[in-house]
Amino acid sequence: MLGYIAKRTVIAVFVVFATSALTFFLLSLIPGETAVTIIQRVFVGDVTYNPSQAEIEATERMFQLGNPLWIQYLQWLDNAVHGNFGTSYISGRPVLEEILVRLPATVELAIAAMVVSLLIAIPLGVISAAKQNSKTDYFSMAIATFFIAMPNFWLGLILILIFSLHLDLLPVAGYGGLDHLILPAITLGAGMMAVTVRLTRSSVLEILRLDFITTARAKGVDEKRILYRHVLKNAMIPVVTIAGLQLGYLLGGTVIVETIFAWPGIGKLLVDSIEAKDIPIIQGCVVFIAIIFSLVNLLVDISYYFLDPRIKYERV
Amino acid sequence: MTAYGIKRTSIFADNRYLRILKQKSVVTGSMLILGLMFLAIFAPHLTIYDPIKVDLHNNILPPSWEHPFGTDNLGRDVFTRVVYATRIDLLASLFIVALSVIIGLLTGIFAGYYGGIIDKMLIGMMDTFLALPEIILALVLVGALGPSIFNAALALALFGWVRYARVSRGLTLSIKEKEFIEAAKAVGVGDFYLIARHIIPNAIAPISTLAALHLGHAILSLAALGFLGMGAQPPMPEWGAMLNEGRVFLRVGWWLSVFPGLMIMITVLGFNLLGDGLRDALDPRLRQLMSMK
Repeated sequence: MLGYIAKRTVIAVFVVFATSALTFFLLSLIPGETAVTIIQRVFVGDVTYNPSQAEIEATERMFQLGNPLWIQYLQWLDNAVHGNFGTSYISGRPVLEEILVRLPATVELAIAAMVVSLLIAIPLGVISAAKQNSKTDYFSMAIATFFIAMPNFWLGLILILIFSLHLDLLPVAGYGGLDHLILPAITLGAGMMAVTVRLTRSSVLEILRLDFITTARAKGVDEKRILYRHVLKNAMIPVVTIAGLQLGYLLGGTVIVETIFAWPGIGKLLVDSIEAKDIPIIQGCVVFIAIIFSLVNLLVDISYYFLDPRIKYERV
Repeated sequence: MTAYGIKRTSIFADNRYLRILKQKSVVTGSMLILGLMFLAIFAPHLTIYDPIKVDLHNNILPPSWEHPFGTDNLGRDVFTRVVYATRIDLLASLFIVALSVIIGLLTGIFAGYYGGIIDKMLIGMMDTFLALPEIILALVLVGALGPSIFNAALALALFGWVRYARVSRGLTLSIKEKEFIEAAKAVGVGDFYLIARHIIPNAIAPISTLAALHLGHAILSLAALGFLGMGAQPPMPEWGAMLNEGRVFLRVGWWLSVFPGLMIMITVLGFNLLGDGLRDALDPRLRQLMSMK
């Protein structure tokens, strides 16, 4: 068990480092003199400023930009593990601060989306399975199929169109109270809802086929009790696991949903800084997302082990 | 005919391709995709308007007989742009999937067949690429290379091949152990021949299923990048980019955003139905392979 956790942890740490390196080298492809950008954006605050040769050389010395790329990366890494992710080219504030300010909004949105999708998906999936091949079953499977194919950026616009512009019930965009959260949470959660309905249904069906259910039926336990007491508990294991893993993917979805709804989270920060070519922030955002993603995966792996002790981890 | 008491069965009875056609979702999916291909091929014959030419006298007209999907902020016919965009979105996603299949199949087979350090490196790469949402890595790459539809497609292919590598590696590992491979080796058959003759044919069924599902996914990701302004650039008609342009005019012209989105949905639905059906018909082992690390 300990060996397994250790192994997964090593992989998670490796993934974070590999992602940071990959991002660093990708970002070095951005054309333009880094020194000139730093002078214009950080020192002068004017992108039209034309720095002298001496200024460029001084900046290059200061940030050690003349070094080979891999040394620059190691320097970045050394700073990063000491909690210094650099300074934003645009705002001039520390990257870590910029990200930590935005983090709660993203977490709030991701959790709300997850709650929305599970609250709809689990009952729908259980009903579908209990009434397999009924009209209800076909209907909810059809809904799931449509929502999987639906682009979330389109769903978001449609929801704004209906609930904000026509019915005037909810705000179009922005961050604030619960009314601001509803549309973004539905937009982000819809795709996950569709996946979870299918998963819950097949998971419940699988359990219903097992011998102990037949035994319970033979004993005369009524169907409802079988469903709630025997099936649900067992069927929820894969659903909970996948829900955990989906939390990571929700973070990817926030990039789009936060852009639509002007939600001040990490996803919007990432998109904005890619447009502005704010390299330190892009690097910081990706590393942060990789850390959260790996951490969630790790926790899911470990909790899976506790939830279902039959599982042995010799593969991988 | 039941002469001599022998039940005559159709020559197609055990034909796997016929079995595919029995899947309702395969038929529905294929119809949708054939319809879209028809739009893409005959785009110039289906409309009298130009997808690019600006006509400011007729901007933001609601849907009518002359303009069934209305016109956009620059007076261009939305139906025309949506139809022409079919070409671009289908071709770009085909490019993404083809490139991913080639890279993934080759690396997967190579790593599985030869093992050793190359295999270890591939596993490390797969772990890393699968550890992050694809859209984030693609965003960073497009941000670095500059936004264009080609760069967006390239980025999605460079992060999309991992699935194929995983499946073909698993397949190679399982086939490598079979006795007929050992026999072939003993006779002196070369590696290249073994791979071409025995491994690749076995990979076709699972890879084509993955590819169908990937096509739908690629359309979604490509449109998402277009929507974020990181894919196709105006005035190119592309569904995601059209949604991005139309978003500003949501209040005055819903048709600018609604129709491109509907097209994305129909396309993705078509490919997903096809992929799901193929999976059920062709390869019961695929689920197992896909979940294998």
